Amino acid sequence: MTQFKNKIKQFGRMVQQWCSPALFAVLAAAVIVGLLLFVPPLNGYADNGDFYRMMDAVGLYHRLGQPYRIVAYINPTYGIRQYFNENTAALFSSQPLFIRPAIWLNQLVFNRLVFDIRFQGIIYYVLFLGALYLVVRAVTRGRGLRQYVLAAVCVFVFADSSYTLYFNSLFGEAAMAVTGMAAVAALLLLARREIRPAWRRWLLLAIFLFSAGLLITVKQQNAPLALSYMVMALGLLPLLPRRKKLLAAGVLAALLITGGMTYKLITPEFQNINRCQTMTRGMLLMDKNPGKTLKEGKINPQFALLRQSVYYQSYQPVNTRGTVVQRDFVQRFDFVWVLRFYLTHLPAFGRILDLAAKDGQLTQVKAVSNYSAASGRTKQAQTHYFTGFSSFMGTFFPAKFAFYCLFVAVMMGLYAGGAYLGFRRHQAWPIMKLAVVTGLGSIIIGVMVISVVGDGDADLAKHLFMVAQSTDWLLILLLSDVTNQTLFREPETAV
Amino acid sequence: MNRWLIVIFASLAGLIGFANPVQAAAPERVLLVYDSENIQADGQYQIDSLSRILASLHIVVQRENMSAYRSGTLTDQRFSGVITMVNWHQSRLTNAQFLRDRTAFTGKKLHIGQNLTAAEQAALGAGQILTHQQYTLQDTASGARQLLPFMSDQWSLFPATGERIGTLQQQGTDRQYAFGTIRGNQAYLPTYSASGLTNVLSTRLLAQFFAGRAAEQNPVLVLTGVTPVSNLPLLRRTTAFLRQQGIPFTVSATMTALNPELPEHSAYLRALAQVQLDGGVIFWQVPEVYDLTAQTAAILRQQFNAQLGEAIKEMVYPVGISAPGYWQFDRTFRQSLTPADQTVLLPDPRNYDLRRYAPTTTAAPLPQALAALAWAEENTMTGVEALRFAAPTALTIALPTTTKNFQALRRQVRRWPQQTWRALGEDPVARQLQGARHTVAITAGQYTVDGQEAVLGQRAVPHAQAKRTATAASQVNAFTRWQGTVLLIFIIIALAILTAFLLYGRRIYRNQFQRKGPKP
Repeated sequence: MTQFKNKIKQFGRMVQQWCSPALFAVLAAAVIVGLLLFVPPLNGYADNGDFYRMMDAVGLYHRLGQPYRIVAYINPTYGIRQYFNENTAALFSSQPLFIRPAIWLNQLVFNRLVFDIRFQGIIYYVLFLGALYLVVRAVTRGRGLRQYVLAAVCVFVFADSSYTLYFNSLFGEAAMAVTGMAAVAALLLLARREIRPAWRRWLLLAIFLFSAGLLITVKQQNAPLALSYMVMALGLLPLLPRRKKLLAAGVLAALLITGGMTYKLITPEFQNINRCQTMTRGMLLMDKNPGKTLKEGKINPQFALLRQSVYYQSYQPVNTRGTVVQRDFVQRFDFVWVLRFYLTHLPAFGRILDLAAKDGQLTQVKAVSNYSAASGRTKQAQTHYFTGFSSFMGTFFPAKFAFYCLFVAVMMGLYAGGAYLGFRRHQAWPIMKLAVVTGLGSIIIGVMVISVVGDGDADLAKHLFMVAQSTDWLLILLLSDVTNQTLFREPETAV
Repeated sequence: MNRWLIVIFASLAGLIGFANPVQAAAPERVLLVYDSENIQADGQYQIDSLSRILASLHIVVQRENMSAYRSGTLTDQRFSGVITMVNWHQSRLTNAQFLRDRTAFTGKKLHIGQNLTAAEQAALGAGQILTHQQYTLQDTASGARQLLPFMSDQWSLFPATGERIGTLQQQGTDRQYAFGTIRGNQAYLPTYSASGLTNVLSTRLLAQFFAGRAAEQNPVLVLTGVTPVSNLPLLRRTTAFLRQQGIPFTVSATMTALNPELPEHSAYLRALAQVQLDGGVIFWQVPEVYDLTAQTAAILRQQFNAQLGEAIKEMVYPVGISAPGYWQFDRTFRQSLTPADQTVLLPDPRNYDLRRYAPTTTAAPLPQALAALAWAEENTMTGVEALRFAAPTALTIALPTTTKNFQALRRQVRRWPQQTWRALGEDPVARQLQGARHTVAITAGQYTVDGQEAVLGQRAVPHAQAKRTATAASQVNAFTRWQGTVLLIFIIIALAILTAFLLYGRRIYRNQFQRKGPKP
């Protein structure tokens, strides 16, 4: 028995010696996620009708002579255009930066004409493992047993299938998942004392800037996140000597410009969709007497009858793109109008925010299939492989907007204490943690408010993607600080 | 007594037969073969217009693209006529199999457009080919004239003698040519248009050539663009104006049953009820469908029944259906047209892609169809006091959306002071609309709902508020629903206690450093 115990101890020591918690997490995630993405049956998210935006931009098309499935099944392969692509991009996005390399890799090793979605998976998979490495490095200290447990928790949280299924799809959320992890991890590591050589710090700063920039530009709705990442970047200030503060200002300005540009480049079509839906799927839905409110806003009250519909809804009595709806309804109000409505009708605002809170942790898109038609599964079949964390959070995380506010307030309060002490002790790390927690908190609250004001309850679960990831980050940070007892102090050296 | 009854019954039956001679005969079948849709020149709308006019003449049309024509399709047994439509004459698209079948075909042959074959030329007699001309189209019967756009193509024209429809007066000379030519089994139209005098005369040719009659009839005025989100005060003003002018009209209105609890829902239906009191007849307009699935027919049926039910509750009695022309050519869509005795076929919409699920080349046979034509586009004619058509026609005008539009509508009405309109509601023949739960019918201005007479403005069916059924939540749902609130309250209380402890503890901590007792 003792011999057996010794064997285990010996094995443990060997692992400790050869495999850091970060590497352990990466290896575990590589196996778990690799099984999901690359081993048949193929898993991913099916097209919900939005893929064309990216396909047109990067030169992919529905393969001729093969059924192109929407919602019901994944399409494993796409055609690669061989001639000039006359389509203009439906929207401005950084996502082609992730898709193009996948196409090149596909053309290099597989086929010049046919694109296999798994090559997209490979690109995200590699980036994801890198980001996960940074995450675990950022939340663990040394090689104690507890650090390995922390690493395992990170895998459990971030390698959850609800996130990684995005990799085998053309959804922008895949890029958001990876860059969201990398940006925060890079910032946390930057403020760590033991990251010594200057080039490493520059590298981390570059990772942060790149990731945040890509995340902000991947979708228009992420434009306001520039402000949250600016708040996080404020944590850089104590790190820098006085003369290099200009650098921090540059970083902040770059983020702000990226966000502003992304917002500016929203096409009129998308603006109209969002405007229309913030009414039909938001205000009109939540208001007890929507016709009266419209009348007060000098809009024909009959438009209240568009309640519940979406922009491209079929079987509608009226065309939303026709002159009547556009001139007399969509162009008659803006988001300030909607925000003013919500601020003067707080119960309605509360109801729709609670609706958002309900969807906040539902990360697995239920509307589309996770399987291809070849798998023989029923239409819109969902995988349950490694979805423990998302299922748990979806079921038990309180679905109340007030709870999210409270959660953010408590987290900020906790880290404000640490930051106060850090400030007095001239430690940058606790201050950075406060900045990061504040930034993540603002993402949680901001994304919910922006989603409902910007687009009502349409596509809510997908719009709230960053809420779930930010909540995960906050919980992981807290767990790490409690485990390492670093909530209020920074250890002198690595434990 | 019995003899009187028989006499009355017989005269009624005669009246029905007289008023509706079209329905008595079995529908004719015509094959329409076009060279190209020629989308660049909006040629598909010409095909749509022609198909709708044929439907209004109670002729069942089968449409074939010339390149897709298969040998043996055109036979005397299957078709009584064939129309060759050249939409894109420059392409000179042709199909040898079709030409061979057409030569062997002994029924009626109509050629529309250019590129007449030698055989067709021969059948039509001596003509000449003219190019770079401007013509004035004249209708000797009504005295209507219209200056046609300058023509730089080559038109084969035939002398204005014999059986002809309209004449083309060559500008600058006194030479006249026939516009529509009929020689035995061969007919010819040099051009086709979906509006104006060209359309009026083309319709007359179609009626005379294929249906063997050209009795002119008054058009029906149809107000389109009436939707649940329309400007209701303007709708009321418009219909009140039409009533003042003594103009009978029909309203093609889309409906919704999505938000029946909103006051705007009943406001819309009340406005439609007022339309009926102003002398308007309501047609249920089909919704816009962009994504067809196998369920489309069922969804449309369910929507129709729900919307009809809601309408009847508010004393709105639709008696017909209006739909875009392309709905005739889809098996899924055409099921939605069957509940009505009377259909208005609207032009194909231009602001969205026309999708089909089970497309057919043959149009659905409709009991009675009215082909829609934009009224304002008829203003290009001169020298005519009133419009009359050889086929049942609906002249459409959009519901004004602004006061300026309303003034334009008034001007349009005053432009045709002599115009006589056909009142659909006053037809002595019963027209009915059959839903799953309700049947609405109208005979000589009298509405009946489910066989019972309905008086406009008085409720026929008691207005019952639908009761909401409470949804039973499962135990887990109930738990997760309350769990959030309970946890929230618990945490707030815990936080409050913690804060109190923190403050209390801080005071104790501070007190440790404070001197006790009196200051020295």
